[in-house]
Amino acid sequence: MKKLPLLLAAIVLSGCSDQKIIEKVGFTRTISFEKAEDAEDGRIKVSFSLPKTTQKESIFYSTEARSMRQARLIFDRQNDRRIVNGQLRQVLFGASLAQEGIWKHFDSLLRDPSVGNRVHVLIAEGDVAQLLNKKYPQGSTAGEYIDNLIRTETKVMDVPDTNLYTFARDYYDDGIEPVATILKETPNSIIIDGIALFRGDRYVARIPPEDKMYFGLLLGGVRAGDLFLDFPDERYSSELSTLLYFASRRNVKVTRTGPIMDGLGLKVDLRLTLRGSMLEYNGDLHLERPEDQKKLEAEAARYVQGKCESIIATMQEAKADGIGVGQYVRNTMSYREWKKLDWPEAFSRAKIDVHVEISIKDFGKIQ
Amino acid sequence: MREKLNWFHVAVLVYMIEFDVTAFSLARVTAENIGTNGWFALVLTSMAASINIFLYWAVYRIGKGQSFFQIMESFVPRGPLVPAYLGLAAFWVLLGSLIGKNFVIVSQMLSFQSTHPMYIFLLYCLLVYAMLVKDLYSIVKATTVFFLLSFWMNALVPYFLSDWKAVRLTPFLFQGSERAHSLQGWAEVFTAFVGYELCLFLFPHSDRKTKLFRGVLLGHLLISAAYVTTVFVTYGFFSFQQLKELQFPLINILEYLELPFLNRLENLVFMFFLFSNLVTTVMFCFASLSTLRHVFPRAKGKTLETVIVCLVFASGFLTKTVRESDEMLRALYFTEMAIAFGLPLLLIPMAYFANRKGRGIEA
Repeated sequence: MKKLPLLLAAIVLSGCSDQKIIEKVGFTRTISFEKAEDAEDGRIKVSFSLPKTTQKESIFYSTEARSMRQARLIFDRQNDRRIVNGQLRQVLFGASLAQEGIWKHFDSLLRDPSVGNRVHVLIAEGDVAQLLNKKYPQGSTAGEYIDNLIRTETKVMDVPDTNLYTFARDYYDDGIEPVATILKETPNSIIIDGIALFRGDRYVARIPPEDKMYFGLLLGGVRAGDLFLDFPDERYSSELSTLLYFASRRNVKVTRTGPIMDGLGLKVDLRLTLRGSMLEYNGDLHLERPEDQKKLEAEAARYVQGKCESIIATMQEAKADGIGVGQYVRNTMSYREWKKLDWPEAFSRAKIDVHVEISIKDFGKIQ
Repeated sequence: MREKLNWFHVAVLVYMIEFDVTAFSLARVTAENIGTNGWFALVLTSMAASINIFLYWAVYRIGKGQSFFQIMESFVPRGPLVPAYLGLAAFWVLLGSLIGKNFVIVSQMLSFQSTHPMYIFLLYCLLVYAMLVKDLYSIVKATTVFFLLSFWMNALVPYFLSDWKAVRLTPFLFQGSERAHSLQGWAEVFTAFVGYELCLFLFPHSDRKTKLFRGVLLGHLLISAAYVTTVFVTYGFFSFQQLKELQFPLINILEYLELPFLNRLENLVFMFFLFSNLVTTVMFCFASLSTLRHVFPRAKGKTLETVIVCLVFASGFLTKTVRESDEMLRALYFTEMAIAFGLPLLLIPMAYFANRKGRGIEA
């Protein structure tokens, strides 16, 4: 009986064989996939970026391989620490690779239990490896910089937080298509350059960065957005104004006006309500007058409506329902009808109207 | 005098017995077998389990609290029953063991990938032994602590609501399942609730003050509520097609947890599932132990407990991969379901006639 504690200790302590000592592992922060220069036998260019312990610099590996794992085996042969994916924060797909479809590579990320599902999914324009391997004046490493940038931007919800979870969720859902944020390198920064619309796993169209807020409105539920309204012509009595800290709500109503199978008998009303502060205004209206305030609200609504409609036109042309109208259409149909419906096709032909209502909470410190 | 259980303890115990590895894949199992809005199937199967619990209540009432063995032996002589007892005891050991081994295999997806699974299972078996050598009252006390350690996880539900959308539930009921609707499909959903039948072995540990069946039903309803809520949230959090693809939707949803100072929280949270699986294994072993004690009343000291835990460990060698483990466990759960429904149907008439016979002698 006296030997029992000894035996127990022997058993329990031998558990220390499976260790991961933090100084002896290399944490991948960013993985990127892009087209290889000569894309023979399905090879792509895979790059890994691992921050050094100082967090100021990173180690960068890049190679041509057929999959992420194959590339990692090559990097493992070079790196003095064991590479692990547990702290992966973002994956970048080159735009031209994304146009051909990314699911093959996406699958190996989803399958890996060590990769969390909050990893940002981003599309990068230009040379992705170069974007990742550059030093930026924003300090820290490119990986850290991107992570912070996306986190800050998605706080206001105008850029959807596109991560492994949302991308896979919308990819599998037959009533919505996935979207992803686009990044681009500038001489001294990385900039968000719009939103990529997907059909299935292919990148098919792009929402320009100036319009990303309108896309956010259409997607629903902006929490604290900023909207710069640059009234274009004489049809508006104002030049420009900026709506700040606004919150939005979206309401989708689907009515069937005829046979639905070709999408023509489908009418969708998107009702957007915005409420925020107007903290910048140039124009002829006298904002101290309630009737002018109302006029401004109506003008702003008209402006937003026009923008949203042009985004919907872009999406319809690309047959990419990135805002999930299909989920609501699905709700009005029987299962058999829905399964028969070719939603991307029907979406491209559906009549989608946007109705915008803006209420301005206050006009700042001056009347 | 031996301490009797309290209904609260019984509720906690039943909750923890029913709460096991099936929880990880439950949402997928409902999506695959039942289809859209499969969470509702859990409500229906939970009701079926409640009917089964009602049958055990009938056994308890009609048999006036006599134990399983007393009722059986009032009708059939002990001799021929022994092989059946041994068979049941072996079966429960196997079931408890494979639940534990399945948990080890699943947990190795997340951590300790390079450790030998049987080594981790050995530690698991030591924990089982440590609990099993105590009397039921002590097991229940430990279970209450474990219950608190795992019950708080239900409070994580609101965290997922910001990404939860009712529209993802779809208006379709039970459509788009992988296979045609079948009894097997429904039975597979039902496996989530297997475990309440062990209340049969609590009869000798309760008296009128225990209000045994209030506890059993409450525990069952509590775990049903937890399962239905979890699966319901999962259906609105993931898309339906995605649910069918995810091996363990519960682990995936936990992966989404993040604190400002800590991410990948699921590795921490996951370990709390150890306790619920531990209690499940221990209680199946307890059923086995009760049976073996009855067969070998003169066994000394901790012999039976040691034998059981050794068998649990040995049975662990039977499965090595997730596929093997899932397949075997499914077969065992189906058998256990048949036992769960079969036993009271067998015992009710026995108890009834035993009662009449007993009264006849008295008169």
